[in-house]
Amino acid sequence: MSLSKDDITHVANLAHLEVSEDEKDAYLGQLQSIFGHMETLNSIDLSDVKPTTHSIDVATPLRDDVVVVQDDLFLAQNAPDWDGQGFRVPKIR
Amino acid sequence: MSDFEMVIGIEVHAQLTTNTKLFCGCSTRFGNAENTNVCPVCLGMPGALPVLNKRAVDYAIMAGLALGCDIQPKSVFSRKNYFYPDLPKGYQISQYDLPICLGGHVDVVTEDGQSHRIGITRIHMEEDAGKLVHSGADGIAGSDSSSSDLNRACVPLLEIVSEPDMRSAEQAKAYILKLREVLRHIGVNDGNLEEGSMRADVNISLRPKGQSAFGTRAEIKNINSFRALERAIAYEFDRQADLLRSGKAVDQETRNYDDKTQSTTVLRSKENSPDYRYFPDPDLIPLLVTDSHIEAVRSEMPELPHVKRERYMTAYGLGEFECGVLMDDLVMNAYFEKCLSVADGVSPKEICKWVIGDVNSLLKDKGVSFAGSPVTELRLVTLLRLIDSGKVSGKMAKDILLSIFNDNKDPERIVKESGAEQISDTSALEDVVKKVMASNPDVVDKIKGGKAKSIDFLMGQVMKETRGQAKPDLVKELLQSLILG
Amino acid sequence: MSSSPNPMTLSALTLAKQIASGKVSSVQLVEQALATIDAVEPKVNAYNEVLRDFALEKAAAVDAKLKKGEPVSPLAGVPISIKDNMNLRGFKTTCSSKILENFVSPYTATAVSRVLDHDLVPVGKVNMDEFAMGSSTENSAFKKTSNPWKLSAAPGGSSGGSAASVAAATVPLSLGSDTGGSIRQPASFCGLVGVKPTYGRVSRYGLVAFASSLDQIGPFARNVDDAAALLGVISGYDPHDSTSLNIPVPNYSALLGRDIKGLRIGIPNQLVNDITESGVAEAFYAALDHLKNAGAIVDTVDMNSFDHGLATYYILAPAEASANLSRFDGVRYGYRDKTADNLRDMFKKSRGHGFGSEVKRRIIIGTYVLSSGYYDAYYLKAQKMRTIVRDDFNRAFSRFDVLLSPTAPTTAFDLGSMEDPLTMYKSDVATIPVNLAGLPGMSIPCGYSNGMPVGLQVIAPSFKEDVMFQVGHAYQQLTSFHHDIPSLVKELA
Repeated sequence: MSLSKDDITHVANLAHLEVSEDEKDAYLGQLQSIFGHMETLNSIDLSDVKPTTHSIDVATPLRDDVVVVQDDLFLAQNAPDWDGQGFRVPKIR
Repeated sequence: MSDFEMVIGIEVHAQLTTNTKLFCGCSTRFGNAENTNVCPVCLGMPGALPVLNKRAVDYAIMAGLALGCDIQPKSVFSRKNYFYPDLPKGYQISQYDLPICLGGHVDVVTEDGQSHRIGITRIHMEEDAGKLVHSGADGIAGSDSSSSDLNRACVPLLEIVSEPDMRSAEQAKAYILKLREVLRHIGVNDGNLEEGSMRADVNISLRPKGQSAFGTRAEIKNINSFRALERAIAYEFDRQADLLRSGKAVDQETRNYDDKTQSTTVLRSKENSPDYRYFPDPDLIPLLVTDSHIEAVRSEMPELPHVKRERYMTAYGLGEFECGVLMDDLVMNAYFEKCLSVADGVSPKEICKWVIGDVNSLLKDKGVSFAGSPVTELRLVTLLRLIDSGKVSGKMAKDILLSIFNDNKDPERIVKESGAEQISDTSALEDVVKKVMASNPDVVDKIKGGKAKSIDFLMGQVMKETRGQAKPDLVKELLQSLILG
Repeated sequence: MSSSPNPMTLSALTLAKQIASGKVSSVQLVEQALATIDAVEPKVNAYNEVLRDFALEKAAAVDAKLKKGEPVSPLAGVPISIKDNMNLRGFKTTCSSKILENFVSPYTATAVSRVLDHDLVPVGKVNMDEFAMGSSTENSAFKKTSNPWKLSAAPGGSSGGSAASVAAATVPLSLGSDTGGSIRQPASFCGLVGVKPTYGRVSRYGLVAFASSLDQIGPFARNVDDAAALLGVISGYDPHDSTSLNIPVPNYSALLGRDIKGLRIGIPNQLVNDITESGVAEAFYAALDHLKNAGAIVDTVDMNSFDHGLATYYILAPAEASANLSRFDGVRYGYRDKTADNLRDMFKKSRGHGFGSEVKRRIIIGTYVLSSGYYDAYYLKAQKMRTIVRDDFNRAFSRFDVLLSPTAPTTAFDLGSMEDPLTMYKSDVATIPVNLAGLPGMSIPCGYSNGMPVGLQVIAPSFKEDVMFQVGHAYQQLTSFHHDIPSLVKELA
């Protein structure tokens, strides 16, 4: 299966990523060759293999339920649009 | 009568009553100033990492045990990817294909006395999103901008998914009420619907009566009260029935309930269902729960509400109504239980009568909680014991209760200081009775002449003389024996 | 040896001894580091930000501690540079991306805290490929860093700024991060020692994530002794990182010096059969001869899974990255496109304009392989392949104590010469399998090809960094490449 420009458009939408038509054209060939390389995985029978998510096989550690007080978090300084209490965003629809 | 049967399944989101969030040490307290219960982790700062809250895991296990689930030895947190200003990381950490609890059920009883077993498919843990405040409007529509408050982001939730086992709004309501009671009584959720600590999404489908295959379902979101639940279900039933009767198909879609219009509207269709791109969160390794962990949680689990109710009814002889009042208010319930533990002979039924009656209305009147009021469990039980022993009358006890509250004193001390103890000593009373007889010879004569009712007048005089402290039975007895011989 | 007066060409441990003995103060050294930065930066461009005042203050505090006779660490007072994807409270963490250009971090990464707690002195945040995606540091949104050995050549990447800052002798140590070779490849290109520790050895808390299941922070140094000492500083369990492992940290420095007689060395055929640059092959086999002479037993081994390492990595890493980079949405911090009048456009434009083209390419790849209908075909398959890679290593380590290969198939390529992404990706072919299996790997300088440094990669079993260091240290006893410094540095001296 070969990746199409529509696929790029669809995926860019999913990722909320503006990609110009020029960029899509440039990406298309590159991504086709990258996905072409990934086809090498199809040469191996993996049906009975268990997936590995992590290279470590332990249980996740658990944290005590104790409140930690925070330093100044520079919220107003870093926020693109701070309204004094919250992070303002443009109209949703 | 309808030709259709309704099939309902419910997803309940219940906030866990932990001190801190699911993956960071921020407080979960409701009502703090915006964006103050936040840290690099729950703000999704670059490089910050989640670490799972042990108490949240314990509570999920406890809820699973209380609802008869199998606790899974291995469960996995995944990332559910979508963009929204109240979702700091651009993904929600949620258990997906490997949840912590599978299976389970609750039994509910409807008005007609019928018992229904509602299956629970699964329970999983996830983090909540933040809250958006829309400026200049009630909702998104009409608002030019919104402001994101992340105090609630990353607060721990349990999502409890039922089987499609309910057939009526009444059953649905009974199911949610039952879940709420269980979760509150084991202490993992505060059941506060107004603050959003319990929320429900309802899946509804219709099928012709007698058919076993399910129809196409719609998922209804934004149901914030029991009334809304009933209305939303009623609306959906009519909407779907109309479609089916006119030969149209019900679309599989997510719908939003609006309590103002009491109707539902399409939120998104199945074709537009978001592609969440779930995958195991690489920042968290699998949660492994050992048998000993489960047993440790089990050993700390409070008495389940149906067991407690059974105890109240059979061991204490309490009625349905009394149980309801006692079980619904957890603070009152704890107070009642503490009273029982110091009762020492005072009957639970009598304690219950006072707790849900006089004490409750006094505290309500004064706007004070059962916890920490001057009317301690020990003082109440002591007061009831004074009644039992005849030292105070029921009427006096009510005044003493008020004094306990106002003066923050023990009942014995109040009785002693006010000399309010009921006079039950015959020789002490005899003098008073004789004095009253001496000053009312005419009345004495009337009684002797057969006008028995006049004895009440003399009794009133005796009570007046003793400022109400005389034991009425005893006064009557004395008057009768002294006048009539 | 040249009579260079620049103390930054000396080893970090030597400098720390000089400080401890009072021969030189930390402030003097930091001043020297800052002066060197001023001198070489116009040519090398390694630094995104120089922490002048912060460094001088910290150095003075270390000097004061020493004066009072308080205990200090073995690297006390030594200047260090930090890759610009690690948080230091009060300073920018840009990841060399426009989207974080003005982000001032409110907290400090655990590894950086450990560096500070051990009295090292961070003098600057250094350049990198944007969000650590790349192998040349050319994907930085801010500047192109040069290789101090040849200014027209790339320093490697993504930790190119770290490598260049040490190779140019502005500092003797740096912290980098390695997801698929991002420490080892630039170390190889710049003639340095670069260590990628076992996954879980060093906390990732505060390291801006690229691919969470593969990322590790590690040291750059001039020699194995310094690298071992710095790894000791940053290693250990961190309750803020669920993937950090609670396993005692050995005293790596104390374990150096053991000989390698009888040590079994495996050479993966898949990593040596196709070396295109003959100078790289020559340097590698010369290094093997040294090790054989020192008593090591060398044999080849087939690692068939390595043929699929690249494909596996370029599914898994972008998949994780696509989610890791979702937090850059223009809401709470970072770049926001102010022209958008609605939320969705704001998201799309902020991300579309804030991210560079390689980052966007990888977000597209990662989103695609996780999307509905493709998860099983790509992501799940790659996870299974990861299992096969681990099994392959497990089998190899039942026969061998370490595995060796050239770190990169070539020496440093010229800036601007790598236009095709896939060709660029292939320069990580030898380093990627190590990350997939979570193993420790190290690159040490082992000679030259066409005048540019060649790196020797040593791979050890999980948590056997000490064995990795043992091999590297033994090799350094027989060679002097780790003393070499680029002519640029000599000229400045």
